[in-house]
Amino acid sequence: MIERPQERIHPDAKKVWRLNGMITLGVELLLVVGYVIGRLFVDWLPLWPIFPALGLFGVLGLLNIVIVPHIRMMYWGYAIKEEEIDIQFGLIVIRRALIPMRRVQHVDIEYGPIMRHFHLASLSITTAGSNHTIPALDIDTARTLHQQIATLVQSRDEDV
Amino acid sequence: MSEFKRQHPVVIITGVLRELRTFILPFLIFLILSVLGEDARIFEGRGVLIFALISIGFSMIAGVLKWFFFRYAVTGTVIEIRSGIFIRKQRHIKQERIQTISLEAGLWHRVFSLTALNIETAGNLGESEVQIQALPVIEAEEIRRRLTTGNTFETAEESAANVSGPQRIIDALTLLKAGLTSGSVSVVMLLIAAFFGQLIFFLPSRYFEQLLDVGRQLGIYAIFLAAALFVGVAWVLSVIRYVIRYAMFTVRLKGEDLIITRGLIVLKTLTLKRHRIQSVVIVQGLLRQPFGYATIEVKAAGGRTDDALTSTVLHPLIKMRDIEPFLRDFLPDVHWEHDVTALPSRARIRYIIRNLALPILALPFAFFEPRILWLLSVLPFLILLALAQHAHAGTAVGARGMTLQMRTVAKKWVLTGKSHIQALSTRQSLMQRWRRLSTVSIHVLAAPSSTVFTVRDVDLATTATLLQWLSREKRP
Repeated sequence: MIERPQERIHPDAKKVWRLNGMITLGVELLLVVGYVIGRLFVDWLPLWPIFPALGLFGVLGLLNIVIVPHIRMMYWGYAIKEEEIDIQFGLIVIRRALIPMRRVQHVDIEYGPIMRHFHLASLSITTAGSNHTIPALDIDTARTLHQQIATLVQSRDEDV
Repeated sequence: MSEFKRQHPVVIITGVLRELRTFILPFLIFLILSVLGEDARIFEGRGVLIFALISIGFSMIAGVLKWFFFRYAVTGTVIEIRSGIFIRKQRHIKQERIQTISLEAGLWHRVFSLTALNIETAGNLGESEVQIQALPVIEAEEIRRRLTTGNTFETAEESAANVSGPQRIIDALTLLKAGLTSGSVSVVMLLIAAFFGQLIFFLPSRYFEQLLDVGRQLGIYAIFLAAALFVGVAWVLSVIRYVIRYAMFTVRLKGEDLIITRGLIVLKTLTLKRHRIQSVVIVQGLLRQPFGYATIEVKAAGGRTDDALTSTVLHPLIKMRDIEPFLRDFLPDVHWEHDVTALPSRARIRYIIRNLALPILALPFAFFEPRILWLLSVLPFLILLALAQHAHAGTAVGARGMTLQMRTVAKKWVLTGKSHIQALSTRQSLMQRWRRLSTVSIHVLAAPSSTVFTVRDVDLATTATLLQWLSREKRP
């Protein structure tokens, strides 16, 4: 196999993913609390569903906060070159995409409040037939790439 | 032809009918209320009558006004359309922006030798279509000629010379063969079943009891006979359906435009710009395989293509060996790469497992429902199919193009040029990594959005070759 793309995504991405995992966990716990409060008013609601729910949320939370961000980080690689964009990710299922630069239609930068706090952005690349996302780059890197791709795309021929 | 014209007045009638149709549902609700609501006076007979009269009156006015305000004109290579009663809409479409022009003549069109003209442009769905519902065929042909070639000064001799480009007409015998092997029997059988399914609600149940009694008396052979008859009838119907849709199929090349004409009752003409074609798919159904016949379909960018599907049939039935000469005549840019790398034999087991997974998962239920054991009789066929799928699947790349081969039931060959591949993606599961295999997909543009062609369990070395082939970067 031709060598995997070398560029890594920004290390702070781990923090973002962890925070997101924590927020999700928080919302899930709130739901459980809401259910328990609801039981005070509606007698016939059983107590038992909260135990498997807590267990499930706990395991998912542990995965999402501690393990997955680390692994995702390790197995994400990309390369943006003159003629093409190369993306590879995944541990259990490895996915790879090779996108000829001439086929790129547009590039979007996107970031939410948490991403912005860490000065990160995601970059999504759209061709006429597919869509690919690089999840976390330094905002400045993303902007540079955005610019770079825009110029490269402009110079391509006007065919579909 | 620069002055504005209105559509043929017959459009008023169809327009009124269409407006009326929108009143049917409210009217039915109204009717039901008038039957149920005993107290309310408004729901009595007179109310219904008034409602009906208002609907008809409104429809007639709307139909006439819409026809009156819809006008079109062709000036040079631009078509301008003005429409709308209160909100006036004007639209200019330039020849360069037009993706396809199609003519479509239904039964009532033919009575007055009219046709509908559809123009599709690139752009957002819905906004991308303009339809002139009825105009004389001669005029429609003239508009199409102007908007496709853009050559307004073309003389009669020149146009005659242009028509003499390659042309294929599908004869009746080929059409019949195509119909017999089209494999759409199952679709027709489903339609018939659905029809009778609906019928059950309307017929009293004693008919069915009688029918069952007759069946019981005649025994199992009669049931087999009935089933055979059912399949036979469905087959004949499917052939008729196919022949009606593809009768008089003609494909010809004029300049850069491929013009496809077909249909017995609804005559369809489709104009496709050649450079819009993104990939060619050769499909060989199970019934066609023994006779060496296949269908050629194309996927083109932008606009609606054929029957709102993502493919357009370019040739309904062609001998395998005639495909390359045909492509050379009509689509010389498309190359069929023959240097196929087949799948490694270690991929075979994965194809077999994939086909058997569902029935085997269902087997434990035989514990509750022994009849499921019938599934076992299907397994050999599924294994055979898996072997055939594995044997056919493969990839090939050449100087200009890529050819992918895959099979679900029908054999497929996907031919596409390097510049038409939007992205190449691969996917490797844990098990695939263990066997050093990966799944390869190419993303190709096809109206209205895009298509992905996938070959499963390709040798990792082959995958690397494919990536290398698409990549323009210098690699060590």
